[in-house]
Amino acid sequence: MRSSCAIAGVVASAALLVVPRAAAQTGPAQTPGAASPPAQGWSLRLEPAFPATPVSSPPPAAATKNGFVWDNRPGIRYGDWFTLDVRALLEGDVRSADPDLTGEGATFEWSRRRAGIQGTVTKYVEYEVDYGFDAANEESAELRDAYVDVSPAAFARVRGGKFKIPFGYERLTGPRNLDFVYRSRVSDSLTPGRSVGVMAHGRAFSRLVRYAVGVFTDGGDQPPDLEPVESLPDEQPEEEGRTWAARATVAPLRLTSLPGKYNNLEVGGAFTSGTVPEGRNHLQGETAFGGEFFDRQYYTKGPRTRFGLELSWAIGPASIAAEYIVSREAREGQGVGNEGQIDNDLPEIEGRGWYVAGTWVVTGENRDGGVNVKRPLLQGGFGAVEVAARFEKLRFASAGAPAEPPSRSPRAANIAGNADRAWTLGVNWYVNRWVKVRFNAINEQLDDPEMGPAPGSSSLWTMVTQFGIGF
Amino acid sequence: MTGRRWLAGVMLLTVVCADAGTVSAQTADDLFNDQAVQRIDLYVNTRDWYWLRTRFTANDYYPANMKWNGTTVTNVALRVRGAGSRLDAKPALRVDFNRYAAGRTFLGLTSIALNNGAQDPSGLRELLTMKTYRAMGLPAPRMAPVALYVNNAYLGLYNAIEEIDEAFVARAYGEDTGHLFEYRWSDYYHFEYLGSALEPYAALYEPKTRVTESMGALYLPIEAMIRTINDASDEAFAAAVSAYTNLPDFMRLVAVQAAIGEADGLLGNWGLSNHFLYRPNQSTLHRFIPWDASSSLRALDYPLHAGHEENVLMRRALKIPSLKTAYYTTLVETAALFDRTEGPSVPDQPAPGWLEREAARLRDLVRPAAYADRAKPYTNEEFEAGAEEVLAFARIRGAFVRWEAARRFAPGAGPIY
Repeated sequence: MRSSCAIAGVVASAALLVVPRAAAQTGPAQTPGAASPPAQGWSLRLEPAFPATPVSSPPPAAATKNGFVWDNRPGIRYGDWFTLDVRALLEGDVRSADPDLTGEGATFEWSRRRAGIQGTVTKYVEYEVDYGFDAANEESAELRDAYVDVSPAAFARVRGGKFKIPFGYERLTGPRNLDFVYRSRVSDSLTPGRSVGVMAHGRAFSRLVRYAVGVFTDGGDQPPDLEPVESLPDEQPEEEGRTWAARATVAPLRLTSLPGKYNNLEVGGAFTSGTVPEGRNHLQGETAFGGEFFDRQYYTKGPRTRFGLELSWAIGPASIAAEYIVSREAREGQGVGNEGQIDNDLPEIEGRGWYVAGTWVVTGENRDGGVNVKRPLLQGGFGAVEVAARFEKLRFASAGAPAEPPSRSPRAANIAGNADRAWTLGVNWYVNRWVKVRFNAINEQLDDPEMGPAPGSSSLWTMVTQFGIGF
Repeated sequence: MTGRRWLAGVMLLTVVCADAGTVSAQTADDLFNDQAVQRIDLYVNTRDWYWLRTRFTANDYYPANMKWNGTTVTNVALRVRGAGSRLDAKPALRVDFNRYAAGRTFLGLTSIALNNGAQDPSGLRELLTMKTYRAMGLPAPRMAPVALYVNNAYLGLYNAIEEIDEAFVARAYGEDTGHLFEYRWSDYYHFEYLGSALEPYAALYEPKTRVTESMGALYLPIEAMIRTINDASDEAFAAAVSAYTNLPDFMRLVAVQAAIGEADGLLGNWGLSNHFLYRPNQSTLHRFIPWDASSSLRALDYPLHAGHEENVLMRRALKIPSLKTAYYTTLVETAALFDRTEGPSVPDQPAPGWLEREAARLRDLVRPAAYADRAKPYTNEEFEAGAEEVLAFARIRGAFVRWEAARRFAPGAGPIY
């Protein structure tokens, strides 16, 4: 099964390697060897949208044509009144790990299989619907994004539906624009993901400032599920409370006279506040290697807050990005008690992590606005090659300094914490505007390997090559 | 009735408080000191305590803090234990100190059991039985009566028992690296050979240490022991079986069990029952450790030859004169212990023996806690009647053992039909 999937992926990749020539025949005339038009699907924007990719302006030929068009992707256009683009993404990972937990050696899995539509209705309304499978839920596809965005003005837009809660630079970056195969541990573990809600957002002062403020029905799909405790007789089951989120970024160098390709430094902060029902529902730490290093075994109840800081900057062919995120989850009434108080409150569970990442496009393409491949493979070139590195740390522990020794008791005041430090070295090959190959070598070090996926092994290696096709 | 409960509560408080001042003593011997009713407090989240009692047939663990003698042990793990003694109102409990922190101990113990006395209205039988084993020099768990409080409310009278685990075998045998098994009763079994496949032996003996080892490493020596017990010739029996168990030690244990009237032990009415097996590392020698003795000290005339014919090991061992003598000698020795008096004897005034004195002392000690125990599955009158049964047994059992042992097992004694 795995091998047949791999073969299917390779065949699909080969097909898309050939597509550029066919597409060129129907698209606008190109000079051989000239740069391709901006590949919207692959552009790594240092101004991540809230949260998904905005609809691009159609190329001149498509803009003037009504009905079915096929430029970067298939679509339908009726002037400025209606546009619809079909989007798809197929990514497969070949992965091996040391120690080899499964004993299967290198394995293949589809990490993302997604399809969707997005477009506009007049110039005031945007929409997107995205559906797909992920590695985490291979058995059934799920509706990922489904929202409508109304924009009477750039500084005052309103989005409603299901979409990403505005928190975390890397979380809000779409999978095709990630610099690494996997998001950082802190993004994976501490950011909230998608939920149903409504959000005001916009930008002001010539993109100097961006903001988003929203309220959502729950805490998001990261972590994916909750396990409320079984109700006692005459006790009403608790439900997850609403989550409020806010995020703002500033691009201070826009106030300077630096050239445009250098002034896109963006710094920002974000905050979420929600309520978690009683149960073993705290955020958990997972390794890139697979498996948990801090699993959900402690009872939580009450407010969950997150606070994040972020920085991103593209400087010519290079870029840097960094985030620092802290989560706190209350444990109201979750203690075992003492002489003075039964069911006492426990110190919060704190998740704290950060990463610093850098990239450099060896073949010289600018990072600002995304890596636009100058010389695609089979079109007179080899594509674009980028190297990347990231260092990160994520730690879970009790907040404060409880006096008792650390324990794995689900009601311990001082929980047995754990931390994961990881190095990632990567090479990204942008074959053309649709095809991208990423190779990552990841080394992780756990503070307490006994709580990790390979007890006794504090050093975990993961090698992963990802083949991706998207439009 | 209310007045009696109030009085019982005051008496209980007095007994418990009498021991509360000894804060400096912090050893396992202090915890298992049966000269006082030990007060143990458990703090359990209200939700967990509800589900523990509701699901008292399950072995689910719940976190708790335990306080004893001024010391609080945080993050212990509780579960309901026992088989026929499981009650929702007054669950028998196991307290693990190392479940949430590997290698952790309290007073050198990795866990203790808190027995609810569900099968013994007097609450004395197991205390006296284990005390007898220890007095006879046999490795046996230490015990003490306990007034158990949960979330600051008195739950009832319990007995704290030292669990049979690595800490116990280290104390008893000086090392703890071997294989420890708990016998799991499922049907009448008397050491019959079950064949060369290891699964039947695995069903009988559950490993408590080195649990991840292969079936062969765990059970081949047990299979070999039982095969030898059954297949060795009469001439070679002692030498062959001695490679797998110490026969004089076995005879001593079953003799004490017979003397104390243990009806649910190695030679009990239900076949093999209530014991652990310990095999030191790199050894084939198995040692028997007694456990759970709530069925002893009942029938005053409990026969000393009960189970001898049914049990293959006992039947064949008794054919060896030296082992039969060892059995007889131990019976007489145990009877002497039962009847050992204190101080000079007074003519025409029979002084109570050791077993009777201990039974009376413990009855008086636990009475307030037993009376205040509103969760116990019997009445105060049943407590008194049960205690009186134990005292009656203690008074005359020594004489019965001496008489019966002499006519059945003394050198030269013939068979009795």
